[in-house]
Amino acid sequence: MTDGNANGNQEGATTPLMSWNNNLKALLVDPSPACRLIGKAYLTAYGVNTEAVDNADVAIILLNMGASFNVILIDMHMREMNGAQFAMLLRSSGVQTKLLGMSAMFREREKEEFLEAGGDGFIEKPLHPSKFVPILQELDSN
Amino acid sequence: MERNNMRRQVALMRQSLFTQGYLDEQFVQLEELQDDTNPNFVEEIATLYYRDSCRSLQTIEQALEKTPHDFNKLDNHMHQFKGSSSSIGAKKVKAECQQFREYCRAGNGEGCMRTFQLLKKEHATLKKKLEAYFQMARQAGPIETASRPK
Repeated sequence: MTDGNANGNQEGATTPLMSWNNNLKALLVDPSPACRLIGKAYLTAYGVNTEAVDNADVAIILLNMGASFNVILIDMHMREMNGAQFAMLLRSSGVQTKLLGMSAMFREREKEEFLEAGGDGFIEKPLHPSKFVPILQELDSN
Repeated sequence: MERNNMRRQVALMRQSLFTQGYLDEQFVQLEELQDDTNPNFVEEIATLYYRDSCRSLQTIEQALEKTPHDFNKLDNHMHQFKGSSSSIGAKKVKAECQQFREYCRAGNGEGCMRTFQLLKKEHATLKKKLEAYFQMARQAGPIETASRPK
């Protein structure tokens, strides 16, 4: 029978599904609690240190406080602003971090606006390793 | 003996959720994220989803009551709902979301309202089924589902 804790790891953590050259850190911005929990669980399972917040304002505060991440994943439809607005805000304050938009509904124009505003890529929900792992691998190779 | 019977029932219940089209592949992905450090992960997600989605549905309902319909707004509200529904693998709910979106795009208010009723029904049906499933799963005790290699 399985016991309570995995063996041989600190804090009962299990071994990540992937290992990276760098210590990857992600910021996940999504108003949906279920999506945040899932996103964080996935990224963490793949060995990415993940911070999940529920709105754009908190994300901006974190970034202004100097928190740095390798990648920011952001839902395209937040309450305070949309993905393109967030991208513009980020880029105009000099944040160079890789920015990925997440959307449940694929809209060509929305994607274009986001990329033009400074977004780097687009992931269609639901979040799945096949979508984010290649991007992380690319980031990690730098 | 009793345990084994229960576990078989749970497995059958789980299987029927897929064969009857209530859940899709995404749900399996969630199950794979469940492990010793997150033993109730899937149930937690489902609980969160229902808590949050009830609010979303209320918002959409209120928006539908305002005429003329603001299809852009309706579409945006539905976006989040669809996102979380697809993230837990709620297949039928997701299909209704998609239909709703088509009606928004076509500016068809009646279609939206009709689809919304169907959506609420699917949402409620899945909730009942999941609750029953989780309850039974808890009673039967932990099963070795597709779990990550440690």
